[in-house]
Amino acid sequence: MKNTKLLKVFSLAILLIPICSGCNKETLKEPGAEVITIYIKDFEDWSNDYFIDAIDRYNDNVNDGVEVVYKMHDESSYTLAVQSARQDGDAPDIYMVDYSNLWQEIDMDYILPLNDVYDASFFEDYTDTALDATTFYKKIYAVPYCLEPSMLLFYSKSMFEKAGVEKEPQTYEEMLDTCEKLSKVINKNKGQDVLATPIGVPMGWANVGQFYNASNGNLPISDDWSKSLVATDNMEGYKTFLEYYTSLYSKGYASTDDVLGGYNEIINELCEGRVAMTFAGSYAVGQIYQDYIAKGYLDNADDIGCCLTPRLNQNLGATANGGWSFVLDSSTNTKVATNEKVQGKTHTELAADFVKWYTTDAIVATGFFELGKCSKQTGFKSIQTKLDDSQENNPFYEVIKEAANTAVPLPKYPYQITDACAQMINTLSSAGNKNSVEKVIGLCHSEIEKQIEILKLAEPGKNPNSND
Amino acid sequence: MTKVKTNKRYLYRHKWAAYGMIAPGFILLTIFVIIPFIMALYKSFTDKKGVQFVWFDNYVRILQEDRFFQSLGNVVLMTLIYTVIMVIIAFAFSLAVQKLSSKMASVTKIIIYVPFLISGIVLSIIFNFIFSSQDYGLINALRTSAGLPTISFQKSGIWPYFIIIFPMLWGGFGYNALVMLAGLLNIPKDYHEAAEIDGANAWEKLIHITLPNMKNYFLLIVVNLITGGLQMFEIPMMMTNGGPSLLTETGIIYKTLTPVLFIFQLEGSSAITEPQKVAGSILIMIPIALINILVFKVLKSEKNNG
Repeated sequence: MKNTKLLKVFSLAILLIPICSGCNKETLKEPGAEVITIYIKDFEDWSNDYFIDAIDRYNDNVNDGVEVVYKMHDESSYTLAVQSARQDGDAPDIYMVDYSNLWQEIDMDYILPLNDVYDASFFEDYTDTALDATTFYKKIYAVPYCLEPSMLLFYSKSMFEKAGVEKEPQTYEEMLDTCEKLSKVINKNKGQDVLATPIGVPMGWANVGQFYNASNGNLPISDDWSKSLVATDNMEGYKTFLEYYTSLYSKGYASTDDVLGGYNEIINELCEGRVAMTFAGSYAVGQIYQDYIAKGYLDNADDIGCCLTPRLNQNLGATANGGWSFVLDSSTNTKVATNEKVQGKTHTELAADFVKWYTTDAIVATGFFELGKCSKQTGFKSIQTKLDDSQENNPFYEVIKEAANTAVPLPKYPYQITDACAQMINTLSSAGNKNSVEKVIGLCHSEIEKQIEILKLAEPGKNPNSND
Repeated sequence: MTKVKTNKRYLYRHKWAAYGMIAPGFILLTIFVIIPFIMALYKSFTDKKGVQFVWFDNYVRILQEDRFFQSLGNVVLMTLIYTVIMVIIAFAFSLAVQKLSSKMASVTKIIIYVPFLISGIVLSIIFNFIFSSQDYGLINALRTSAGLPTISFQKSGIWPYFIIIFPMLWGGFGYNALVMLAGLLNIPKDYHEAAEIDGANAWEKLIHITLPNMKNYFLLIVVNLITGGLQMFEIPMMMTNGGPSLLTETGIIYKTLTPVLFIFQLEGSSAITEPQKVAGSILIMIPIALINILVFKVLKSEKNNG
């Protein structure tokens, strides 16, 4: 009998869980404040903690009639969460979009152009690369949250010393020579490799800068997106690059299989001694400091060095700028504040105030980049000037800054074009490949021509850089 | 024969109770399956903003994707191999278990059933540790320590298919072997005894008694394997993510891409609009449904014959 009662109570409790979870109402610091919602993506722990703390600080002023409420979603559910909220008529006022996906949001009219939201002086503070990444159809649609060069070379100084490598490799020849020397000192029997590289989807976007550099600043398609340049203007540069890059695999310096955790966590391979060098995005610097040095997992923090990616053309960048931006949802324009302190203001204005504060406030913005040891770069000149002074002792700062300032923005054309280029590397490095480099370049050319036709890229209005 | 006239009112005297029992299931099915499906169908005919009716444009766009047809071809091939191997090994194993003592059979049944309780994602993680070409890959670590070259299981030759099919076999083997065993135990012993008296050997008993009596069990398992196989997703995603991929004369080929994985990858593609993604899901559903209908037709005709 007692058991039956217990069972009933237990069943009732189970039934009440979902009901109660629906009752979970946000408690505001300022009761009745106008709520501005922001959806943030789950990044590194230090970055998330800083962001949440900053929102808390913004909300400390309990007399301004506004309160920012955040929702954090991980990578797999973030886009879906924004879409679902929009479908429910409850789109967040502010959300984050990576630069390569801004075009899609604009194409769908999901986000507002910001030219009428901020003064011109706000945009004058954008760095050139940030301005390039956020400008579409001659309008600015996003506020840069961070810029991250997608490919740098990280290496172990002690392994370099052991192998007799005296300088950081800057050309293809130097890189192959360095690999050869390192291959003689690594312990292959313990599964150690010379180099780790991006594999799978990251192979595409991480190598955008390498293809750009090798072709003297050309993209794989023409500026008007009407034809492929792969087997014409870019042929010689791509051939040199592909011969060099795929030899990293064919000579056994790097594995064609992905590492545990993929490109996002590739720096672990170097920090844990499984490789002597690795390509990684600038975000790796934050991981080195926060995941290894801060936790005492790295005995000799000075052992890790970083340099620009070896490249064909020394006067051009060889990396692309990834990163994230803040956008304002187009529905914010129609939401008018009812709280008496901000009555009559639209959510666009209130949301814009928060974004401006977070990205350009001298203390808040510099604090964020300093905490991450500038593994992410600011998109604002004024903040960069402040960071220049504070990062004198950061051995990675100058390299990341140079990479970010010379990087090509992630392409605005669909990923299919980038993927076709990555497939050249895949095909040439696949086991038993019998195709010549020229043949593979030709295949890529045809594939891009096909995609231009399928995606109708040459049609007016498709290319956000055009004057149409 | 005289036809017995039944009183309809008497026959349907419990109809309200029956409707009442069907209602909860029907309502839930309507809310969570039928209505969303109709909404999805409507959305698949609209433009990117879901406003204008564009008829079959979204379907045409998906059919232009080489990956759509490739994924269907891949999944049919992998399902075929997986189903044939599974049926053979599960049947052979159940025959062996039948011969064991009851204690040993109980222990064996528990051991082989455990992998079935592991989710596909966890299975993939386990097998990633076995087949990875990195230093933590068990097989390659052993090969390296023996001075042998490593194998790129994710990329070379037929290995990508193997590292998808093998975990699926390992995970599903226990369940299928137990269903087969249940079928074997259902065959009356008298049949075999009678055949023995008539001088039938083991092979003849298998062909003329065991297999015909197991027909419905085989069909059940084949239907389950085909249905599950055609929808394979998490293991291909975790083991190869649809790769390896290569540039060919006809475009980029993805050797282990499956239809559900294709739809999942569309989700991350900025070049495909939401209604096109929905159209893709519906298109993928059609051949899978047709194959299932075909199998059910076979099942039904076999049952009628039996």
